Amino acid sequence: MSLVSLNEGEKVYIIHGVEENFRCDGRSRQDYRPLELEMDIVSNANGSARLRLANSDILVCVKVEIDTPLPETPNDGKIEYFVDCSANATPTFEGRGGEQLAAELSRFLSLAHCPVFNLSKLCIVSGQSCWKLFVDVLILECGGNLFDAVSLAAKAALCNTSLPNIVGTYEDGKNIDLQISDDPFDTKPLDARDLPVLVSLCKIGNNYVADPTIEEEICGAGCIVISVTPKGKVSAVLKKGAGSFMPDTLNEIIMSGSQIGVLLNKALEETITKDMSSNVCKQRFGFLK
Amino acid sequence: MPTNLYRFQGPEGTIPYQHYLIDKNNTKLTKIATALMKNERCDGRDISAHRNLCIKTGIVTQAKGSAYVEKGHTKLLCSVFDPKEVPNKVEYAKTGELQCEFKFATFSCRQRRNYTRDSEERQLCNEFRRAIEPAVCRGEFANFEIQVNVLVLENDGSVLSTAITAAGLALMDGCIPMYDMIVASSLGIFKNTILVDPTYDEETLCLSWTEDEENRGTVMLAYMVSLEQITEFSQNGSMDINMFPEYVQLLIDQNCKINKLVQSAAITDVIGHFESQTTD
Repeated sequence: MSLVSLNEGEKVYIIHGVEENFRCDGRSRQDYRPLELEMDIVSNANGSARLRLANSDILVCVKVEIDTPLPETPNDGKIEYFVDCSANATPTFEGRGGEQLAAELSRFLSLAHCPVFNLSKLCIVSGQSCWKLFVDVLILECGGNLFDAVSLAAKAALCNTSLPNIVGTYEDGKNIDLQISDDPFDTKPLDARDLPVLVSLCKIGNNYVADPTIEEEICGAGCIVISVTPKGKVSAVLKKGAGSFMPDTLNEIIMSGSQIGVLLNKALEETITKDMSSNVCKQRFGFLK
Repeated sequence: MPTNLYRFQGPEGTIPYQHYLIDKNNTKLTKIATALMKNERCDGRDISAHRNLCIKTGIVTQAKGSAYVEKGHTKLLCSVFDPKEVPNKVEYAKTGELQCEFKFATFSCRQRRNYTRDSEERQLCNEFRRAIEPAVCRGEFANFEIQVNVLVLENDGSVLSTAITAAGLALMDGCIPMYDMIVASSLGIFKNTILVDPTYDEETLCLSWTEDEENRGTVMLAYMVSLEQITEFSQNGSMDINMFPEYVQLLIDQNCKINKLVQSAAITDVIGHFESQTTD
């Protein structure tokens, strides 16, 4: 995935560090690196968020458009995820290099959100029109643990999204004309607080670490990604890497992953609430920080 | 979206006529749901029983190894090809690679599928590769790759787990060195009821959105029985964390049952092979 290559000595150093519960950057096995989140930074999008997890830099923008619902689900809106691995992140993403990772990320994100997100909230007129959300994820810099960073940023961006209010509808036979308020502040926020975040746990030696760096990902035998909702429910699980697990280890990893997930959700919730309450005189950083 | 102009593409924007049937899909699902509340399944199975398995190896003569597996109405074909050198590769790789393709035949599902690979097929392909990777002795094929193809002829639920079981058989039939046989099975959970080996309708029911807090979703687990290693685990839905040990144990028990069937099929194969040699 990246250009980092480690020799045997470095690998042994990392593995022994994990055994002693003291990782290269001084963290313990369950700790996360510092997170920075800024919301509402792209003015053309209906909702946006930029997340920095140590060296991983993710920008997520949500655009809404009007579409007709699928015939099998006339009361549901639509949501589509698209991940773009910019070649700026690492040169290996150049051309079609990042395609597989991007496809996997977007598919897993939609799998994780789908059992939790109530799509009927996006319905405008049953069977006729609905909102379609385009969640565009841009990976600007890649510093390991992309799954967690992308899911946190996507949740923040969706919490930040607001749908324009519909002032009136005109029926003309079977056609329906919608009239949408042209005031950019006349909007209804999208309720996305129940969405899950992803927690990756990488198995190194006999232990597992949360929030692995690129170097740790190389040393690890396998990685389990768990999607955890704020209530502690699990909505999707994925295995990464070529390793295999003992049944007991797997149970243990899922258990501790859900505990970390609940804490992570809580921290994100607090940050979002704080950001929304201080909306008036918010200090903006953008990309200059 | 890349389109292949040499192949016939169905017209865009068509709707399957099933949506206009009087007895709509929804009533079928509610029928299954009410039956499940009484612990009954629409096909008369026990909730903890898997469907009948039909195994046949060596079905594709051109491939090194192949297997055809039928599980109820889920029918699929898996073929394995000889190790070959990785094209356009500069670096030396110590472990061999597995090149997988997971394809639904266009007529395999209720709704017609496209020729081009969609995101579901890509995801299934990734999961499939990760499930069989730990079972193959990849150190034996340094710098080489093995092609493993799966073609789903009919999709009636539990496709991925059936495909992994078929791949285990095809790899064995192709004499690819493996650490252990690999088998997989899946569960559907609907309102806290655990269904072993769900059909397509049951899977749709388990994954449909509901407001309540009860457990629902699907779980799939691939397992190497004698090494006691889980090679792939995937879950979707909304489940309580404390239920996972139970699901994992149940899936492992299921896998042990399937492993017995797979082993007996393998033994019959070997005996058949020797018999045909002695008659020659």
